[in-house]
Amino acid sequence: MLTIKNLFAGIEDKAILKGINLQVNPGEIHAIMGPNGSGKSSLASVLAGKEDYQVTDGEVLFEGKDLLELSPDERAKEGLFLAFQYPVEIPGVSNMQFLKTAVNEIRSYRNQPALTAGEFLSLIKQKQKLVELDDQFLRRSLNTGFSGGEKKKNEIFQLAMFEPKLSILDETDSGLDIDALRIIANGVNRLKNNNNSFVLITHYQRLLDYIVPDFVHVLYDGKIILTGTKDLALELEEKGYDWVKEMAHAKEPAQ
Amino acid sequence: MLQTDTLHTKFLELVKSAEAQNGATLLESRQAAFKRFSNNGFPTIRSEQWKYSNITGLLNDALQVPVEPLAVKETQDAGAALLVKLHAPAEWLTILTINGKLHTIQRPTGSKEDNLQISDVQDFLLSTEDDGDNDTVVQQAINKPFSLLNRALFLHGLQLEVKANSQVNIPVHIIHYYTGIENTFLQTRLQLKANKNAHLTVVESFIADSSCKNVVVNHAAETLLAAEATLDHFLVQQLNEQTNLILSEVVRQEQQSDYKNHVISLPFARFIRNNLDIALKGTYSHTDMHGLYMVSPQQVIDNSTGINHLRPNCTSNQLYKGIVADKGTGTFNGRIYVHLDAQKTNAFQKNANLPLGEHAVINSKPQLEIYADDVRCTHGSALGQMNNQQLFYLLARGIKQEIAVKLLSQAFVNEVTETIEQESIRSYVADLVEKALDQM
Amino acid sequence: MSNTSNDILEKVTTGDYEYGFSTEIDMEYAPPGLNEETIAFISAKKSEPDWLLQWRLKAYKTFLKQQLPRWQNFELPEMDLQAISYYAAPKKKPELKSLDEVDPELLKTFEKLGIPLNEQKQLTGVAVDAVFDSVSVVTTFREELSKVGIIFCSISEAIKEHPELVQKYLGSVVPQSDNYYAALNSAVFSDGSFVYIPEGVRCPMELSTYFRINAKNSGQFERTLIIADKNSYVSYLEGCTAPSRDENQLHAAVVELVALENAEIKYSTVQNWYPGDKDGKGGVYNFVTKRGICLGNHSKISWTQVETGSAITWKYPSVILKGDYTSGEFYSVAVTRHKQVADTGTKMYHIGKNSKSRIISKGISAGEAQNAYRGLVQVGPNARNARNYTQCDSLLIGDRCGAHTFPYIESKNNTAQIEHEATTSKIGEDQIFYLNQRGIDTEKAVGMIVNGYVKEVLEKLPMEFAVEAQKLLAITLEGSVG
Repeated sequence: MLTIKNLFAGIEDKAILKGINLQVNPGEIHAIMGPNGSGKSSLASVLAGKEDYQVTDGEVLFEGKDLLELSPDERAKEGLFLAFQYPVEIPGVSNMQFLKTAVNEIRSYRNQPALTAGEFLSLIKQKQKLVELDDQFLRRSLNTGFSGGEKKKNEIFQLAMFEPKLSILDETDSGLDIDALRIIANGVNRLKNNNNSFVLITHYQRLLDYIVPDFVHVLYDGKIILTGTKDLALELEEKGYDWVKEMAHAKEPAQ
Repeated sequence: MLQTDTLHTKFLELVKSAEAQNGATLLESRQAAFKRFSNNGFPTIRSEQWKYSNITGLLNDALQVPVEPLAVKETQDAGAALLVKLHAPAEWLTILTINGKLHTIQRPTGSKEDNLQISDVQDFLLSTEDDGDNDTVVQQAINKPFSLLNRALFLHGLQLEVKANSQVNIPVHIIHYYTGIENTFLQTRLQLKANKNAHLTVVESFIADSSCKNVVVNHAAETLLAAEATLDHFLVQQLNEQTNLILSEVVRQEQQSDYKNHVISLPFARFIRNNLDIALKGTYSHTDMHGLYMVSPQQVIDNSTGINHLRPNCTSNQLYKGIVADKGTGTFNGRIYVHLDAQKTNAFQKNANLPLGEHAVINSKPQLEIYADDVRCTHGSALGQMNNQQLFYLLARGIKQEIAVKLLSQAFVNEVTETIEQESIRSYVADLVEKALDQM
Repeated sequence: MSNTSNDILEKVTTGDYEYGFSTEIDMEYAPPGLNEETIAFISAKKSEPDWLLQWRLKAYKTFLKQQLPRWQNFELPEMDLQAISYYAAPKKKPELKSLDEVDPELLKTFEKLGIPLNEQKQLTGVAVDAVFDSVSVVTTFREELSKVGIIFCSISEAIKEHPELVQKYLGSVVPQSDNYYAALNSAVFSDGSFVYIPEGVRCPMELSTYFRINAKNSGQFERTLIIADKNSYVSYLEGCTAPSRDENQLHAAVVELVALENAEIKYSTVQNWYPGDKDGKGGVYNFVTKRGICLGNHSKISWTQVETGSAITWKYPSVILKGDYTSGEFYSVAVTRHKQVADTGTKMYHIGKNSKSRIISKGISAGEAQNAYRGLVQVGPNARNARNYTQCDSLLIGDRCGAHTFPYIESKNNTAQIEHEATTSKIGEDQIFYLNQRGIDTEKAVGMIVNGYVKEVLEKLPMEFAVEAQKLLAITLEGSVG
């Protein structure tokens, strides 16, 4: 599904990702954890193609294609979905109008016919239950005036609508109360199958109580320094990140 | 109204008497300025910049242009006593000018401040590089009619310069004191220069006493901030109905400089016009402009400001507030200009007006003129009486109407005075503002 | 924005003008030149009464004393008013009893513009007055409207058939001496629409005028007069297009609205005159004076405009709030690209007590275009409790365009409450990225963001036209995005 080889990237002259290697196969859930500033969200942005970042070295293959060659919308159309940490507000563009445009853009890319109004509505009906969103919000402007929880639910709702191959959830759990977290996790669990994959970016273990990852990676100073199973997440929760940092520094050659 | 021809006669007299003292460069500069002034003469209300202020009555025929320094009665000894009378804070470095002429410099005990050079007109060197400055906005600013007239006719000038990489740690207080003059159209000048990475705080007080009759002061200032310099500049105008002021200041800022300006126009002058033009000529510079104008009945206060973003990554923040009494006229005309090179500009501008009397006249013209795209510029203007709910709340707590109104007016002006960071200056200004509020 | 997205922006804002075709038709022209003979010629052609000829001649005298305005922040091109023909009309007799008599070429032209003049083919509920160069070709649904006493006809007809109304109100809102172009229009106006809604009548359908400049080297100087009598209501819409021609064409219209007690006039414009090509060659100079007066208490005038065309647009639809409890509104979207200039806004004159006004302006500037909001809110000494709210936002697409905001606020009464807010910013890169991430390409993303941005204004348009306007915006921005 996704192969990242020795990826280096940064903003202007500042290096942020310093040699990432990661393999994600269909049907897998990966969690990427790490202290603040370790490069977790940058990795998500680079994969989605945010223009502020420059890739200086390395390679990313997505379903065999060179992901870094594609424009952001092409990446989305190929089936890469990023649930944003801070979904942007777009006043005046209704959720409904936005969804319809995006769904049909993706369908047209896949040579599928555009959905009729009826098909589109029933798709919405079916998916909105998943994250417990009411009809009202469909008429509202995209993310405009939404609470933090509503914005995150909307991201997962879109995930359900677009049925991507690979979903990257960037700190989707931050700022959520326990009920919202449960709703979102249930949504993800029901969407997961043997053909799609998820990458969960998170600072805390909490989300992993609800969505059980196959692999847990620790990202520190732009590199993955440790990979394990769910137990690693529990260990991090218990001990904090300091021991991982020490381990990372110990690996560096002495001055 | 004063005629250009009359001024020209005076100009020739002045040139004759000044010839002995001034060098050839200065004379040339005077001549060029007068020539440019005569091309258009005084502005009328047909000019966009002057549409809300008619100056024909102000510049009446009785006005005389002095061609040599005016006599001052006080002796040097009287200077110190006068400063006490003028409530000059003793802990500041004080420079007193009387009718434009440098009179006394008083330093607090123990203060040296040898990094600050203070010069008066005698050794005044016209050191501005105006004519070499290619920025159109700077050219436009220094070629405004009253600036030109000042350059042609000024008698007195004062120059302050801080050495590079040094700070002047106490406020420098320039008191422009006007006394005992009649029917006078006076031209005075100030140049402030903060060299690289220097810091200076200047408070200018314009104070007129009641012995003046029919006086118009045309004061021009040129301010230069070299790279990384910071300058805090306060203009406090305490004039009376016989003494009026036209002020023009042009500020040029080099990279990473920080200029903060406060203009406090207190009531009772018949006419005050403040022209301020700032040119952000270096990247990563910042300008703060705060204004408070308190307009008494029949008075006119007209603010005309321009913040010109000429290079990328500069920021500016402007807040002007006016309180206008019945039949007073308060005007704010402020332009933010963003040159096409000035990407990443962030500019904020706000004007608010509180009309106190039924026929308070208020004009507000905030303007954004933007030729770069990666910018964030916002402006707002609000006009309206006090919030009735707030007023009612105070009344319901047993506060008299009169006091409640005063409290809310106070709250309105506090937004400006609270932006003054230096405690001693804030209290100096706040006291004057509070007294003025009582009298309005 | 990166280079790739700049390229797309570039592409999106360089689309072509759809209505640039011209019609071959037998025309009659006045000889070029502006003088008393020309005015007499126009007046004679239209068999006007003598009072109107005298009125025109008086306007011409005023015009000669007027000077071109000089306060604008864009360069006003020199224009030779003597080289223009002030009257251009299809040769076939313009006054027709039925559609069958209309030159089929003309019908085809309007059909091509999406304005079928055959009543059966029309959008139901919209009556059209079609103006081709200097004359009104046909006015539809007249009979149906006349049943409720509504007069909807060309101004030339109104001059003959309802002289008392025309004489009373013509020039009463926009005096001949108002400005250079208003004076010119008063002297040489050719045709335009006239509407009178009688007391207590709510006009049952949208009224609209469609203006088409076709002839070369001619100007269009139409004159519109709308009177809404007590307790009446009318919604009126105008649309305009012109062929792509290399030389500039002058359009100097005057629109006057009069709302009597408790009446409401809603006036919408979708302006799509030929904007010139991408290098700024050709295009219509749209110098228009539009003003309404809320004469009676509790009356209301609302202007909505979508401005996408013209090389230079220079207009300030205004409201004189003379009566007490009157209300004025101005909703505007102005889109400029290539080398277009739009300098538009409104003037709200608060004279009556408890009058209120609301201004919402959205400017979008792309390419090398300049887009300015210029507006005045004036509160007179007796206008107690006047209220105004103004919001002007500008969006910049591309780094060679400009956006400007020049509001004038003048109050002479302390009970006024005025609030003005304006923001200028670049189109949101984070918004474009978000939409990209959902599979929407940059060109469509920009279209969506812009349509969302102007939604508040488009919602004020009558339904049928809101959809048209939305499409027009999308087409206009095609090729301007980066």
